[in-house]
Formats: sequence, C-alpha cells, structure tokens
Amino acid sequence: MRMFKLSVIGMTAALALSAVGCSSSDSGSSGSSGTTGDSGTLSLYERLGGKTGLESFVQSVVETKILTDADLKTFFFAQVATPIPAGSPSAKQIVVCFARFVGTALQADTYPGAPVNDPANTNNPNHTCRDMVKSHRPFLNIGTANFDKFIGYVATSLMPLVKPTATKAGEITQAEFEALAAALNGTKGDIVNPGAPASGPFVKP
Amino acid sequence: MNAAVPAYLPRVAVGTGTAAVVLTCLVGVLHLPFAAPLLRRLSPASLCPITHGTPAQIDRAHAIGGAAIRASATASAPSRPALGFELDKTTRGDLDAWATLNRVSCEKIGGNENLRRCTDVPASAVGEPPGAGPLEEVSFELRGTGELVNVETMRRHLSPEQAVRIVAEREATIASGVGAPNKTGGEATVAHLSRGFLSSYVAEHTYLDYRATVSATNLGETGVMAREQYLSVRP
Repeated sequence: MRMFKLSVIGMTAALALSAVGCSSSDSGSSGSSGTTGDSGTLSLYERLGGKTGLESFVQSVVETKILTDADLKTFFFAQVATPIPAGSPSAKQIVVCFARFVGTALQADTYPGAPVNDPANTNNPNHTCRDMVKSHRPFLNIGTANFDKFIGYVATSLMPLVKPTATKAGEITQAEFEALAAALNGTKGDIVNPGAPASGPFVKP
Repeated sequence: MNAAVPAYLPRVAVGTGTAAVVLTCLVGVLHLPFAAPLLRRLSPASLCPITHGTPAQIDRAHAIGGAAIRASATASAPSRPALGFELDKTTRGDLDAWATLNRVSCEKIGGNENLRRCTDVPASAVGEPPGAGPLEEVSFELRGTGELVNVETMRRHLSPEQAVRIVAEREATIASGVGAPNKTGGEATVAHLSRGFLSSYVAEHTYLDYRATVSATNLGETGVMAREQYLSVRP
C-alpha cells in the first residue's frame, strides 16, 4: 500500500515536472505553470487552487475515487485502521505530501519540506514526505490493471477541468492535460511489474 | 552408530538451531510497532500493505468515500440502477447464485470476504447488449452486514469505436433511469478518444444516496478502457 501510494506521488511529481518542462520549452507562451503566469493570467498552480486547492483536489480523488474502488481501496487499509500502523502516513499526511510534491514541481512549494503533522496518527504524528520513486521503485509490484485504473481516475478527474482557454481557477488547457498524460505514460514501465497480478492488492515481488 | 557421526555435527546442529531461534525472535521484534522506523530503514519493502482488511476497515473506506460524494449532492436518486443488482439489498448468497447461473468465475479480492472480482463476464450476465462484448472484470463490495454497496465493471483493449458505442449505450441507459449527469468531462466521440494517451470521457450521476459513473480512457497500446460504477452512498 505504502509503495503503491507513494509511487503514485512520484508519478504525479513526474507529471507536474513534465508539464513545467513542456511549458518552458514553449517559451512560456501559455503561462501555464509556475507561480506566476503571463500578465493578466493565472499560473497553472494558481488555476489548480494553490496549496489549498491542490490538497482539496487530491483529497477528493482519494476519497471519492480510490476509496470507493474495490481493488484500489485495499492499498489504503492502513489509513482506515485504528490506530494507523507504525510507519504508515495518514490520509491527511499523504494528501499534503502529494499536493506539496506537485506544488514543488510547479516551483511554488518546497518538497519534502517540514514534517507533516497529524496528531490523529498517533504512531507517526510527524511524517516526512519522501522521494518515493527512488526509494521504492525496486519494490513496486503494481499490476497493469491497477495502474490503468489509477491513471483512469487521474484522467477522468482532470478531464472536466479542461477548457479551450483556461484562464480561471479550476481550469487547465488541453495542452497541459496532454503534457501530463505524456509524462504519465513514460512512467508506466518503471511502475508496472510485468510479473505482478494485473489486479488485486499489493503482493510482494 | 555414534562413531559414524562426526563430532562437530552436534555443535553445528545446536548452533544452527540457536541462530534460527535468535533470528526468528529478531524478526519478530522488528515487526513490533516501536521498531517500524528501523525496519523501514533496513528494508523499505518490508512494510507491507494491509491487504487483508477487516470488514470494519472496508466499511470505513466506503463511508469516507460516501460522505465526500454526498457532500456534493442535493437530492436523492429517483432510482438506483446497478446492472440488475439491488444496492443495499443484494446479498453474498445472491451473488453466488448469479455467478453459478451465469457460469462466471469469481474470487475474493486480497482474501477479503466482502470484496469480490469476477472475470470474463458475458455482457448478458449483467443485462448489457451482447454486442458490448464480455467484461474483463465485474467487481463487487458488500457491507460488513452483507449487503451489496458497489458494482464496478472494466473493459480494456477496446477500439475507440467500441468504447464510444459502449459508453454511449451505458450512459443512455443510466440517464433514462436517473436523469442527465451532474458532471461530464471530455467527449464520447471517436475523434476525442483517439486524440492520445489518457484522452477521456466521463459522466457522473451523483445523488445523496447513489452515484453512477461511466467513463472511457485511452490507454495507448492497451487500447481504450471503459468502466462503469454503481455505488450506494447511503450512510
């Protein structure tokens, strides 16, 4: 579960980083990333709602998509256990890390930053966000179907935000969406273990 | 007979046995809560997910999702279609009977009694037109008290044309029962789903007691994935 969730964080970071890279290579013509957009426009970070908006978006995906998925929810049983097992972050801590990671990729936040405090997680009240791709890639055992389900949720959560001209909060452009998608596609080979069961919960490689 | 046993063998046996006991104890101690940080440092992979949740944990995850979904709803659903199953009524026994009747193979997800996945399900088994083709997976979730609260389907390896046909038919069927979707994204067209990786269409029908979702996502070389979900979000 930890590996899966945190690999997801890594994937998202890669996504966001790629979006930044693509935007930069376009000489910032879209003003779509970073903390400041072109004059009169909002940056991608601002259109994603900044820190609060990103956290809210991530929380919504986790709660309304992942936790209601019969397969993917099995990766989050620690977060609904009482108490949360030692070493496991709470859902709140995961959400903050996730949002912080994306914010950092958009040059608007700092990762890993200060430990994320959640007094409700009695065994791990101060969780330090980590570079999960480097530390967990060798141990991932994500099957194709679970990977596809997860990225399907990412895509269908972002798709309603796509507008022909994204200028307001809660809007992204098709080009930004496609940049994120391309980056995510590039991570599949690193994330999916061909020998892992296609569906079902984490199984040690 | 004793003469045939080398003198060092008993010492080796005792040493090996002692080492095994000590190592077993050490591994046991490392898995105690206070040692988790050390264990994580020694081996990040050693902190396994809890794949086998208790019925209470499964219900808790469902309750969190349900509460978040209800927060964005304003009315109860006029009906709650779920591929012929009855949310909050269908039982595990009903699912078993359905699987037997339709010769469908099902298994527990991660050994969890209340999570089930059935594979290679004929469309007719869930009341869908045969032209839609078989479903790669149909998954179910039951409450701890035994009633069905979630039905999900997944088809992959579809062409954009197949996916558009399926999601259009499913969406029309759902809309005829519960009305237009509250939220949509993308387009259910071949042109849109062919645009590239992760090009998607999604339609959500969200109510205080129900959510139905139909979606299609371009997965590149895996083709297009079409999914449906019928969820009870009653408290």
